[in-house]
Amino acid sequence: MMNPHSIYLLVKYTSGGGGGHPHQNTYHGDTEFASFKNLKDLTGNQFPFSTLSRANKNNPALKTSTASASMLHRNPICYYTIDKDDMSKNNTALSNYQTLPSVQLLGRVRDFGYECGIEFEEAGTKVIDHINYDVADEGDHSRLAIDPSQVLNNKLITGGTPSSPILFDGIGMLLYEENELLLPVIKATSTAYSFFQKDKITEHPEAVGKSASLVTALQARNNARVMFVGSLAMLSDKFILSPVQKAGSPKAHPTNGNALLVESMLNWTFKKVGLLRISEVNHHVTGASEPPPYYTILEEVEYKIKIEENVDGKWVEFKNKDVQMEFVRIDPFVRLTMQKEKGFYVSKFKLPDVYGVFQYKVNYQRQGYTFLSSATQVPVRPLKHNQYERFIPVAYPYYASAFSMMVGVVLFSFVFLHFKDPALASAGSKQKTQ
Amino acid sequence: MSGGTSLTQAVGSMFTEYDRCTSLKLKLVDCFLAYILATGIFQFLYQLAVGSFPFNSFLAGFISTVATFILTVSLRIQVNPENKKQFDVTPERAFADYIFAQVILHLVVMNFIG
Repeated sequence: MMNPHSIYLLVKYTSGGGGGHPHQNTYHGDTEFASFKNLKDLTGNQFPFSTLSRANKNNPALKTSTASASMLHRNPICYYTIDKDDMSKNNTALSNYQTLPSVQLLGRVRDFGYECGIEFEEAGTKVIDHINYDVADEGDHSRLAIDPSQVLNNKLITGGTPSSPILFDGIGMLLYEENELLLPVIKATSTAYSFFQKDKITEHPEAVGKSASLVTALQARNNARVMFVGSLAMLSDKFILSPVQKAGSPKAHPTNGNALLVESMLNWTFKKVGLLRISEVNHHVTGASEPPPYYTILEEVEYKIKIEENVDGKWVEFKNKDVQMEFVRIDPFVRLTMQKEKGFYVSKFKLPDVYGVFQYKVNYQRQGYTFLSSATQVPVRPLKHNQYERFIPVAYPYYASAFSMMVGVVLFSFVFLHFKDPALASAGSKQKTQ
Repeated sequence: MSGGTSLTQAVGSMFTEYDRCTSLKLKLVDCFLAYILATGIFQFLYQLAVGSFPFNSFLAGFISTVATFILTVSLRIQVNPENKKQFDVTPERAFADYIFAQVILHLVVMNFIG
Protein backbone atom coordinates (compact mmCIF):
# COMPACT_ATOMS: atom_id res chain seq x y z
CA MET A 1 0.00 0.00 0.00
CA MET A 2 2.66 2.48 0.94
CA ASN A 3 5.01 3.90 -1.63
CA PRO A 4 8.47 3.70 -0.11
CA HIS A 5 9.50 7.03 -1.57
CA SER A 6 6.70 9.20 -0.16
CA ILE A 7 5.13 10.01 3.08
CA TYR A 8 1.40 10.07 3.23
CA LEU A 9 -0.89 12.92 4.08
CA LEU A 10 -4.19 11.80 5.35
CA VAL A 11 -6.85 14.29 6.18
CA LYS A 12 -10.19 13.22 7.27
CA TYR A 13 -13.18 15.45 7.33
CA THR A 14 -15.38 15.26 10.32
CA SER A 15 -18.51 17.33 10.00
CA GLY A 16 -19.03 20.08 12.57
CA GLY A 17 -18.65 19.01 16.14
CA GLY A 18 -16.64 15.94 15.43
CA GLY A 19 -19.53 13.54 15.08
CA GLY A 20 -19.32 12.98 11.33
CA HIS A 21 -20.07 9.63 9.86
CA PRO A 22 -17.02 8.33 8.04
CA HIS A 23 -18.97 6.95 5.14
CA GLN A 24 -20.25 10.32 4.17
CA ASN A 25 -16.85 11.37 2.97
CA THR A 26 -15.34 10.18 -0.22
CA TYR A 27 -13.50 7.05 0.30
CA HIS A 28 -11.13 5.31 -1.99
CA GLY A 29 -9.57 2.07 -1.11
CA ASP A 30 -7.38 2.42 1.96
CA THR A 31 -7.09 6.17 1.78
CA GLU A 32 -9.63 8.53 3.19
CA PHE A 33 -8.89 12.01 2.17
CA ALA A 34 -10.22 15.50 1.86
CA SER A 35 -9.23 18.37 -0.34
CA PHE A 36 -6.92 21.12 0.56
CA LYS A 37 -5.66 24.30 -0.98
CA ASN A 38 -2.19 25.76 -1.09
CA LEU A 39 -0.42 22.60 -0.21
CA LYS A 40 2.18 23.06 -2.89
CA ASP A 41 4.36 25.40 -0.90
CA LEU A 42 6.03 22.66 1.06
CA THR A 43 5.61 19.66 -1.12
CA GLY A 44 6.14 21.27 -4.51
CA ASN A 45 3.20 19.42 -6.00
CA GLN A 46 -0.13 20.92 -6.78
CA PHE A 47 -2.99 19.11 -5.23
CA PRO A 48 -6.09 19.20 -7.40
CA PHE A 49 -8.33 19.59 -4.45
CA SER A 50 -11.25 21.70 -3.60
CA THR A 51 -12.92 21.70 -0.28
CA LEU A 52 -15.58 19.10 -0.01
CA SER A 53 -18.52 19.92 2.09
CA ARG A 54 -21.25 17.70 3.29
CA ALA A 55 -23.68 19.50 1.01
CA ASN A 56 -21.56 18.71 -1.96
CA LYS A 57 -21.12 15.09 -1.24
CA ASN A 58 -23.50 14.04 -3.94
CA ASN A 59 -22.05 16.32 -6.57
CA PRO A 60 -20.50 13.99 -9.12
CA ALA A 61 -18.14 16.70 -10.35
CA LEU A 62 -16.61 17.01 -6.94
CA LYS A 63 -16.58 13.39 -6.06
CA THR A 64 -12.88 12.92 -6.17
CA SER A 65 -11.93 10.22 -8.53
CA THR A 66 -9.23 7.64 -8.64
CA ALA A 67 -6.97 10.21 -10.25
CA SER A 68 -6.61 12.26 -7.10
CA ALA A 69 -6.46 9.21 -4.97
CA SER A 70 -3.52 7.91 -6.91
CA MET A 71 -2.02 11.38 -6.80
CA LEU A 72 -2.21 11.10 -3.07
CA HIS A 73 -0.43 7.82 -3.20
CA ARG A 74 2.40 9.47 -5.05
CA ASN A 75 2.66 12.70 -3.13
CA PRO A 76 4.05 13.22 0.28
CA ILE A 77 1.50 13.79 3.01
CA CYS A 78 1.14 13.67 6.74
CA TYR A 79 -1.61 12.54 9.02
CA TYR A 80 -4.03 14.66 10.99
CA THR A 81 -7.67 15.49 11.33
CA ILE A 82 -9.57 18.70 10.98
CA ASP A 83 -13.06 19.96 11.43
CA LYS A 84 -14.31 21.60 8.31
CA ASP A 85 -16.44 24.18 10.05
CA ASP A 86 -13.55 26.06 11.51
CA MET A 87 -11.09 26.42 8.63
CA SER A 88 -9.34 29.75 8.84
CA LYS A 89 -8.25 31.63 5.80
CA ASN A 90 -4.61 32.54 6.35
CA ASN A 91 -2.27 32.00 3.48
CA THR A 92 1.13 31.49 5.00
CA ALA A 93 2.73 28.19 4.11
CA LEU A 94 2.12 26.71 7.48
CA SER A 95 -1.50 27.64 7.49
CA ASN A 96 -2.17 24.71 5.23
CA TYR A 97 -2.27 22.62 8.34
CA GLN A 98 -5.18 24.07 10.15
CA THR A 99 -6.56 22.82 13.32
CA LEU A 100 -9.40 23.15 15.72
CA PRO A 101 -10.47 22.54 19.20
CA SER A 102 -12.43 19.42 18.52
CA VAL A 103 -10.15 16.92 17.03
CA GLN A 104 -10.72 13.27 16.64
CA LEU A 105 -7.91 10.84 16.09
CA LEU A 106 -8.52 9.02 12.87
CA GLY A 107 -8.75 5.28 13.20
CA ARG A 108 -6.41 4.81 10.32
CA VAL A 109 -3.83 7.04 11.90
CA ARG A 110 -4.01 4.99 15.05
CA ASP A 111 -3.59 1.77 13.04
CA PHE A 112 -0.68 3.18 11.13
CA GLY A 113 0.81 4.20 14.47
CA TYR A 114 0.54 0.63 15.69
CA GLU A 115 2.35 -0.56 12.60
CA CYS A 116 5.17 1.82 13.43
CA GLY A 117 5.34 0.89 17.08
CA ILE A 118 3.40 3.86 18.43
CA GLU A 119 0.37 3.54 20.63
CA PHE A 120 -1.77 6.64 20.74
CA GLU A 121 -3.72 7.38 23.85
CA GLU A 122 -7.44 6.85 23.82
CA ALA A 123 -9.32 9.10 21.40
CA GLY A 124 -10.63 12.18 23.15
CA THR A 125 -7.92 12.33 25.79
CA LYS A 126 -5.47 15.17 26.06
CA VAL A 127 -2.06 15.47 27.66
CA ILE A 128 -2.57 17.40 30.89
CA ASP A 129 0.09 18.87 33.10
CA HIS A 130 -0.95 20.84 36.16
CA ILE A 131 2.51 22.33 36.56
CA ASN A 132 3.87 23.13 33.11
CA TYR A 133 0.87 24.70 31.39
CA ASP A 134 0.62 28.00 29.59
CA VAL A 135 -1.07 30.98 31.30
CA ALA A 136 -3.52 31.28 28.40
CA ASP A 137 -4.91 27.86 29.21
CA GLU A 138 -8.66 27.59 29.53
CA GLY A 139 -8.69 25.85 32.87
CA ASP A 140 -8.09 22.16 32.27
CA HIS A 141 -4.30 22.59 31.87
CA SER A 142 -4.04 20.90 28.50
CA ARG A 143 -2.40 23.83 26.76
CA LEU A 144 1.15 22.94 27.65
CA ALA A 145 4.24 25.10 27.68
CA ILE A 146 6.96 22.69 26.68
CA ASP A 147 10.36 23.47 28.08
CA PRO A 148 13.14 23.57 25.44
CA SER A 149 14.97 20.80 27.26
CA GLN A 150 12.17 18.38 26.38
CA VAL A 151 12.80 18.86 22.69
CA LEU A 152 15.31 16.72 20.79
CA ASN A 153 18.48 18.65 20.12
CA ASN A 154 19.09 17.79 16.49
CA LYS A 155 19.78 20.49 13.92
CA LEU A 156 18.17 18.52 11.13
CA ILE A 157 14.97 17.40 12.77
CA THR A 158 14.20 20.24 15.17
CA GLY A 159 16.65 23.02 14.26
CA GLY A 160 18.49 22.60 17.55
CA THR A 161 17.14 23.26 21.03
CA PRO A 162 14.45 25.94 20.80
CA SER A 163 15.13 29.31 22.37
CA SER A 164 11.67 29.65 23.89
CA PRO A 165 9.07 27.21 25.14
CA ILE A 166 6.80 25.37 22.73
CA LEU A 167 3.02 25.45 22.88
CA PHE A 168 1.30 22.10 22.63
CA ASP A 169 -2.29 20.99 23.02
CA GLY A 170 -3.08 17.47 22.03
CA ILE A 171 -2.84 13.77 22.49
CA GLY A 172 0.05 11.72 23.82
CA MET A 173 1.55 8.48 22.56
CA LEU A 174 3.58 5.60 23.87
CA LEU A 175 6.51 4.20 22.00
CA TYR A 176 7.44 0.55 21.68
CA GLU A 177 10.71 0.34 23.64
CA GLU A 178 12.52 -2.11 21.42
CA ASN A 179 12.03 -0.13 18.24
CA GLU A 180 15.38 1.52 17.63
CA LEU A 181 14.10 3.64 14.77
CA LEU A 182 11.55 5.64 16.72
CA LEU A 183 12.78 8.98 17.92
CA PRO A 184 10.80 11.02 20.46
CA VAL A 185 11.12 14.60 19.26
CA ILE A 186 9.16 16.09 22.16
CA LYS A 187 8.83 14.12 25.36
CA ALA A 188 6.34 14.89 28.09
CA THR A 189 7.46 16.03 31.53
CA SER A 190 7.39 13.76 34.53
CA THR A 191 4.33 15.64 35.81
CA ALA A 192 2.22 15.06 32.67
CA TYR A 193 -0.53 12.53 32.19
CA SER A 194 -3.30 11.89 29.65
CA PHE A 195 -6.97 11.84 30.32
CA PHE A 196 -10.27 13.21 29.10
CA GLN A 197 -10.55 16.91 29.82
CA LYS A 198 -12.79 17.87 32.70
CA ASP A 199 -13.43 14.25 33.66
CA LYS A 200 -12.64 12.80 36.99
CA ILE A 201 -9.87 10.29 36.65
CA THR A 202 -11.28 6.81 37.03
CA GLU A 203 -8.46 4.65 35.73
CA HIS A 204 -4.71 4.82 35.54
CA PRO A 205 -3.71 6.61 32.32
CA GLU A 206 -1.37 4.94 29.89
CA ALA A 207 0.73 7.79 28.52
CA VAL A 208 2.16 9.25 31.67
CA GLY A 209 5.33 11.13 32.52
CA LYS A 210 8.57 11.01 30.59
CA SER A 211 7.68 7.82 28.73
CA ALA A 212 4.85 9.61 26.95
CA SER A 213 5.89 11.15 23.69
CA LEU A 214 4.14 14.19 22.22
CA VAL A 215 5.84 14.22 18.82
CA THR A 216 7.63 11.22 17.39
CA ALA A 217 9.78 10.87 14.32
CA LEU A 218 10.48 7.64 12.52
CA GLN A 219 12.93 6.93 9.76
CA ALA A 220 12.35 3.43 8.45
CA ARG A 221 15.13 1.22 7.16
CA ASN A 222 14.15 2.11 3.60
CA ASN A 223 14.62 5.78 4.56
CA ALA A 224 10.93 6.62 4.52
CA ARG A 225 10.22 9.31 7.11
CA VAL A 226 7.11 9.67 9.21
CA MET A 227 6.36 12.31 11.82
CA PHE A 228 3.59 11.67 14.31
CA VAL A 229 2.45 14.95 15.82
CA GLY A 230 0.10 14.66 18.74
CA SER A 231 -1.18 18.19 18.42
CA LEU A 232 -2.53 19.91 15.34
CA ALA A 233 -2.76 23.08 17.36
CA MET A 234 1.00 23.18 17.58
CA LEU A 235 1.16 23.55 13.80
CA SER A 236 -1.49 26.24 13.53
CA ASP A 237 -0.98 29.94 13.00
CA LYS A 238 -2.88 30.70 16.15
CA PHE A 239 -0.35 28.88 18.30
CA ILE A 240 2.69 29.92 16.33
CA LEU A 241 1.88 33.59 16.70
CA SER A 242 0.90 33.58 20.34
CA PRO A 243 3.22 34.36 23.24
CA VAL A 244 4.00 31.75 25.85
CA GLN A 245 4.46 31.95 29.59
CA LYS A 246 4.66 29.04 31.90
CA ALA A 247 2.16 29.33 34.73
CA GLY A 248 3.98 30.12 37.90
CA SER A 249 7.06 31.45 36.14
CA PRO A 250 7.60 35.22 35.88
CA LYS A 251 9.28 35.03 32.48
CA ALA A 252 6.94 35.84 29.59
CA HIS A 253 8.16 35.01 26.07
CA PRO A 254 6.58 37.21 23.41
CA THR A 255 7.35 34.62 20.77
CA ASN A 256 7.42 30.90 21.26
CA GLY A 257 9.64 28.38 19.53
CA ASN A 258 6.87 26.75 17.52
CA ALA A 259 7.58 28.38 14.16
CA LEU A 260 11.17 27.25 13.82
CA LEU A 261 10.48 23.86 15.33
CA VAL A 262 7.54 23.10 13.08
CA GLU A 263 9.35 24.32 10.00
CA SER A 264 12.38 22.14 10.80
CA MET A 265 10.19 19.15 11.52
CA LEU A 266 8.31 19.49 8.27
CA ASN A 267 11.45 20.09 6.25
CA TRP A 268 12.94 16.95 7.70
CA THR A 269 9.82 14.89 7.16
CA PHE A 270 9.49 15.94 3.54
CA LYS A 271 13.16 15.19 2.89
CA LYS A 272 14.31 18.73 2.32
CA VAL A 273 17.12 18.24 4.79
CA GLY A 274 19.22 15.33 5.86
CA LEU A 275 19.00 13.58 2.52
CA LEU A 276 22.17 11.75 1.53
CA ARG A 277 23.23 9.54 -1.29
CA ILE A 278 26.31 7.61 -2.36
CA SER A 279 27.30 8.67 -5.83
CA GLU A 280 30.58 6.87 -6.50
CA VAL A 281 32.55 4.01 -5.05
CA ASN A 282 36.04 3.05 -6.18
CA HIS A 283 38.82 0.88 -4.85
CA HIS A 284 42.25 0.01 -6.18
CA VAL A 285 45.83 -0.86 -5.34
CA THR A 286 47.89 2.23 -4.47
CA GLY A 287 49.27 3.47 -7.73
CA ALA A 288 46.59 1.97 -9.98
CA SER A 289 43.27 3.58 -10.81
CA GLU A 290 40.89 0.71 -11.55
CA PRO A 291 39.74 -2.09 -9.30
CA PRO A 292 41.86 -5.18 -9.98
CA PRO A 293 40.28 -8.60 -10.62
CA TYR A 294 41.74 -9.76 -7.33
CA TYR A 295 43.95 -8.54 -4.50
CA THR A 296 46.90 -10.29 -2.87
CA ILE A 297 47.48 -10.34 0.87
CA LEU A 298 49.53 -7.51 2.39
CA GLU A 299 48.96 -5.16 -0.53
CA GLU A 300 48.55 -1.39 -0.08
CA VAL A 301 45.06 -0.43 -1.20
CA GLU A 302 42.89 2.66 -1.40
CA TYR A 303 39.13 2.91 -1.08
CA LYS A 304 37.18 5.96 -2.19
CA ILE A 305 33.54 6.85 -1.76
CA LYS A 306 31.62 9.97 -2.67
CA ILE A 307 28.68 10.98 -0.51
CA GLU A 308 26.42 13.84 -1.49
CA GLU A 309 23.86 15.78 0.47
CA ASN A 310 20.77 17.40 -0.97
CA VAL A 311 20.80 21.08 -0.01
CA ASP A 312 18.01 23.23 -1.44
CA GLY A 313 17.28 20.70 -4.10
CA LYS A 314 20.87 20.38 -5.33
CA TRP A 315 23.27 17.59 -4.59
CA VAL A 316 26.39 18.98 -2.99
CA GLU A 317 29.41 17.47 -1.28
CA PHE A 318 28.67 16.06 2.14
CA LYS A 319 30.86 17.73 4.72
CA ASN A 320 30.80 15.56 7.84
CA LYS A 321 34.09 14.02 8.89
CA ASP A 322 32.93 10.92 10.76
CA VAL A 323 32.29 8.46 7.94
CA GLN A 324 33.93 5.12 8.65
CA MET A 325 34.83 2.23 6.43
CA GLU A 326 35.23 -1.42 7.38
CA PHE A 327 37.06 -4.22 5.64
CA VAL A 328 35.05 -7.26 6.59
CA ARG A 329 35.32 -10.99 6.19
CA ILE A 330 32.53 -11.97 8.57
CA ASP A 331 34.30 -9.84 11.19
CA PRO A 332 35.92 -6.52 10.38
CA PHE A 333 39.68 -6.77 9.98
CA VAL A 334 40.17 -3.07 9.38
CA ARG A 335 38.01 -0.15 10.54
CA LEU A 336 39.06 3.37 9.63
CA THR A 337 37.61 6.86 9.75
CA MET A 338 37.93 8.18 6.25
CA GLN A 339 39.73 11.37 5.23
CA LYS A 340 38.37 13.83 2.72
CA GLU A 341 40.38 14.20 -0.45
CA LYS A 342 39.10 16.10 -3.51
CA GLY A 343 35.45 15.54 -2.67
CA PHE A 344 35.91 11.84 -1.94
CA TYR A 345 36.15 10.06 1.36
CA VAL A 346 39.38 8.09 1.14
CA SER A 347 40.94 5.40 3.27
CA LYS A 348 44.36 3.94 2.60
CA PHE A 349 45.53 0.84 4.35
CA LYS A 350 47.43 -2.41 4.05
CA LEU A 351 45.44 -5.57 3.49
CA PRO A 352 45.63 -8.00 6.40
CA ASP A 353 47.74 -11.13 6.21
CA VAL A 354 44.59 -13.17 5.66
CA TYR A 355 43.19 -14.40 2.37
CA GLY A 356 39.52 -14.88 1.53
CA VAL A 357 36.56 -12.96 0.22
CA PHE A 358 36.22 -9.56 1.86
CA GLN A 359 33.84 -6.62 1.63
CA TYR A 360 34.48 -2.92 1.83
CA LYS A 361 31.58 -1.74 3.95
CA VAL A 362 30.32 1.75 4.63
CA ASN A 363 27.38 1.86 7.01
CA TYR A 364 26.54 5.44 7.94
CA GLN A 365 23.66 5.86 10.36
CA ARG A 366 23.32 9.19 12.08
CA GLN A 367 20.29 10.73 13.72
CA GLY A 368 18.47 12.88 11.20
CA TYR A 369 20.31 11.67 8.10
CA THR A 370 19.18 8.97 5.71
CA PHE A 371 20.78 5.60 6.31
CA LEU A 372 23.63 4.90 3.94
CA SER A 373 24.90 1.44 3.26
CA SER A 374 27.42 0.25 0.70
CA ALA A 375 29.19 -3.10 0.37
CA THR A 376 31.76 -3.99 -2.29
CA GLN A 377 32.98 -7.56 -2.43
CA VAL A 378 36.61 -8.33 -3.36
CA PRO A 379 38.69 -11.50 -3.38
CA VAL A 380 42.07 -11.53 -1.64
CA ARG A 381 44.43 -14.28 -2.69
CA PRO A 382 47.44 -15.77 -0.88
CA LEU A 383 50.96 -15.35 -2.26
CA LYS A 384 51.91 -17.31 -5.34
CA HIS A 385 54.89 -19.62 -4.97
CA ASN A 386 57.13 -17.09 -6.69
CA GLN A 387 55.92 -14.10 -4.64
CA TYR A 388 57.64 -15.04 -1.43
CA GLU A 389 60.73 -13.21 -0.16
CA ARG A 390 64.08 -14.46 -1.41
CA PHE A 391 67.52 -13.96 0.15
CA ILE A 392 66.32 -12.88 3.55
CA PRO A 393 69.26 -11.28 5.42
CA VAL A 394 68.44 -12.90 8.74
CA ALA A 395 68.76 -16.31 7.11
CA TYR A 396 72.28 -15.74 5.74
CA PRO A 397 73.92 -18.05 8.35
CA TYR A 398 71.73 -20.91 7.18
CA TYR A 399 72.63 -20.28 3.53
CA ALA A 400 76.28 -20.13 4.58
CA SER A 401 76.15 -23.40 6.46
CA ALA A 402 74.40 -25.27 3.64
CA PHE A 403 76.98 -24.08 1.13
CA SER A 404 79.82 -24.76 3.52
CA MET A 405 78.56 -28.33 3.89
CA MET A 406 78.69 -28.80 0.15
CA VAL A 407 82.15 -27.31 -0.14
CA GLY A 408 83.29 -29.33 2.84
CA VAL A 409 82.05 -32.55 1.31
CA VAL A 410 83.87 -31.82 -1.93
CA LEU A 411 87.16 -30.97 -0.19
CA PHE A 412 86.85 -33.89 2.16
CA SER A 413 86.20 -36.37 -0.61
CA PHE A 414 89.17 -34.97 -2.55
CA VAL A 415 91.45 -35.45 0.41
CA PHE A 416 89.92 -38.78 1.35
CA LEU A 417 90.47 -40.28 -2.09
CA HIS A 418 94.05 -39.11 -2.43
CA PHE A 419 94.95 -40.05 1.09
CA LYS A 420 97.88 -42.40 1.55
CA ASP A 421 98.01 -44.02 4.92
CA PRO A 422 101.49 -43.21 6.37
CA ALA A 423 101.73 -46.68 8.01
CA LEU A 424 101.26 -48.27 4.62
CA ALA A 425 103.54 -45.71 3.01
CA SER A 426 106.33 -46.48 5.47
CA ALA A 427 105.70 -50.21 4.98
CA GLY A 428 105.85 -49.66 1.26
CA SER A 429 109.02 -47.63 1.51
CA LYS A 430 110.45 -50.27 3.83
CA GLN A 431 109.67 -52.86 1.24
CA LYS A 432 111.29 -50.73 -1.37
CA THR A 433 114.41 -50.28 0.62
CA GLN A 434 114.64 -54.02 1.23
CA MET B 1 99.08 -45.01 34.10
CA SER B 2 96.40 -47.51 35.13
CA GLY B 3 92.62 -46.93 34.43
CA GLY B 4 91.60 -45.12 37.58
CA THR B 5 88.09 -44.55 38.92
CA SER B 6 88.12 -40.76 38.72
CA LEU B 7 86.43 -39.12 35.74
CA THR B 8 89.37 -37.06 34.56
CA GLN B 9 91.57 -40.14 34.55
CA ALA B 10 88.97 -42.03 32.50
CA VAL B 11 88.60 -39.23 29.96
CA GLY B 12 92.33 -38.75 29.72
CA SER B 13 92.95 -42.44 29.11
CA MET B 14 90.17 -42.41 26.49
CA PHE B 15 91.90 -39.66 24.57
CA THR B 16 95.34 -41.36 24.66
CA GLU B 17 93.81 -44.65 23.58
CA TYR B 18 92.07 -42.90 20.70
CA ASP B 19 95.23 -41.17 19.64
CA ARG B 20 97.14 -44.41 19.55
CA CYS B 21 94.67 -46.78 18.00
CA THR B 22 92.96 -44.90 15.21
CA SER B 23 94.60 -44.62 11.85
CA LEU B 24 95.27 -41.26 10.28
CA LYS B 25 92.57 -41.77 7.71
CA LEU B 26 89.92 -42.18 10.34
CA LYS B 27 91.28 -39.19 12.19
CA LEU B 28 90.77 -37.18 9.01
CA VAL B 29 87.16 -38.24 8.87
CA ASP B 30 86.80 -37.34 12.54
CA CYS B 31 88.08 -33.84 11.86
CA PHE B 32 85.48 -33.33 9.23
CA LEU B 33 82.83 -34.68 11.57
CA ALA B 34 83.87 -32.23 14.23
CA TYR B 35 83.55 -29.34 11.78
CA ILE B 36 80.07 -30.45 10.75
CA LEU B 37 79.06 -30.73 14.39
CA ALA B 38 80.33 -27.26 15.13
CA THR B 39 78.39 -25.75 12.24
CA GLY B 40 75.24 -27.52 13.34
CA ILE B 41 75.51 -26.34 16.93
CA PHE B 42 76.26 -22.80 15.83
CA GLN B 43 73.15 -22.77 13.63
CA PHE B 44 70.96 -24.03 16.39
CA LEU B 45 72.22 -21.41 18.85
CA TYR B 46 71.72 -18.70 16.22
CA GLN B 47 68.13 -19.79 15.72
CA LEU B 48 67.51 -19.72 19.48
CA ALA B 49 68.90 -16.19 19.66
CA VAL B 50 67.26 -14.65 16.61
CA GLY B 51 64.04 -16.63 16.29
CA SER B 52 62.89 -18.99 13.63
CA PHE B 53 61.59 -16.49 11.10
CA PRO B 54 62.40 -18.19 7.82
CA PHE B 55 61.79 -21.53 9.42
CA ASN B 56 62.31 -23.36 6.17
CA SER B 57 65.77 -21.84 5.82
CA PHE B 58 66.67 -22.83 9.35
CA LEU B 59 65.48 -26.36 8.82
CA ALA B 60 67.31 -26.69 5.52
CA GLY B 61 70.58 -25.43 6.95
CA PHE B 62 70.34 -27.46 10.13
CA ILE B 63 69.30 -30.66 8.45
CA SER B 64 72.03 -30.34 5.87
CA THR B 65 74.57 -30.44 8.74
CA VAL B 66 72.85 -33.29 10.51
CA ALA B 67 72.50 -35.38 7.37
CA THR B 68 76.08 -34.81 6.23
CA PHE B 69 77.16 -35.83 9.72
CA ILE B 70 75.22 -39.04 9.50
CA LEU B 71 76.46 -39.87 6.02
CA THR B 72 80.06 -39.20 6.98
CA VAL B 73 79.69 -41.36 10.07
CA SER B 74 78.34 -44.21 7.98
CA LEU B 75 81.27 -43.79 5.59
CA ARG B 76 83.66 -43.95 8.52
CA ILE B 77 82.04 -47.14 9.79
CA GLN B 78 82.22 -48.82 6.41
CA VAL B 79 85.79 -47.81 5.79
CA ASN B 80 87.14 -48.83 9.19
CA PRO B 81 89.03 -52.11 8.70
CA GLU B 82 88.07 -53.30 12.18
CA ASN B 83 84.46 -53.66 10.99
CA LYS B 84 85.28 -56.00 8.14
CA LYS B 85 83.28 -58.78 9.72
CA GLN B 86 79.97 -56.83 9.65
CA PHE B 87 80.38 -54.69 6.57
CA ASP B 88 81.90 -56.66 3.73
CA VAL B 89 82.06 -53.71 1.42
CA THR B 90 84.96 -52.24 -0.46
CA PRO B 91 85.92 -48.69 0.51
CA GLU B 92 85.26 -47.60 -3.05
CA ARG B 93 81.71 -48.85 -2.92
CA ALA B 94 81.20 -47.10 0.40
CA PHE B 95 82.51 -43.86 -0.98
CA ALA B 96 80.33 -44.13 -4.08
CA ASP B 97 77.24 -44.55 -1.89
CA TYR B 98 78.38 -41.58 0.17
CA ILE B 99 78.65 -39.29 -2.82
CA PHE B 100 75.32 -40.42 -4.24
CA ALA B 101 73.56 -39.75 -0.97
CA GLN B 102 75.25 -36.35 -0.63
CA VAL B 103 74.06 -35.30 -4.08
CA ILE B 104 70.47 -36.10 -3.22
CA LEU B 105 70.80 -34.41 0.15
CA HIS B 106 72.13 -31.16 -1.25
CA LEU B 107 69.54 -31.13 -3.99
CA VAL B 108 66.80 -31.28 -1.38
CA VAL B 109 68.49 -28.69 0.82
CA MET B 110 68.83 -26.21 -2.01
CA ASN B 111 65.15 -26.58 -2.86
CA PHE B 112 64.00 -26.18 0.67
CA ILE B 113 66.22 -23.36 1.76
CA GLY B 114 64.06 -20.85 -0.17
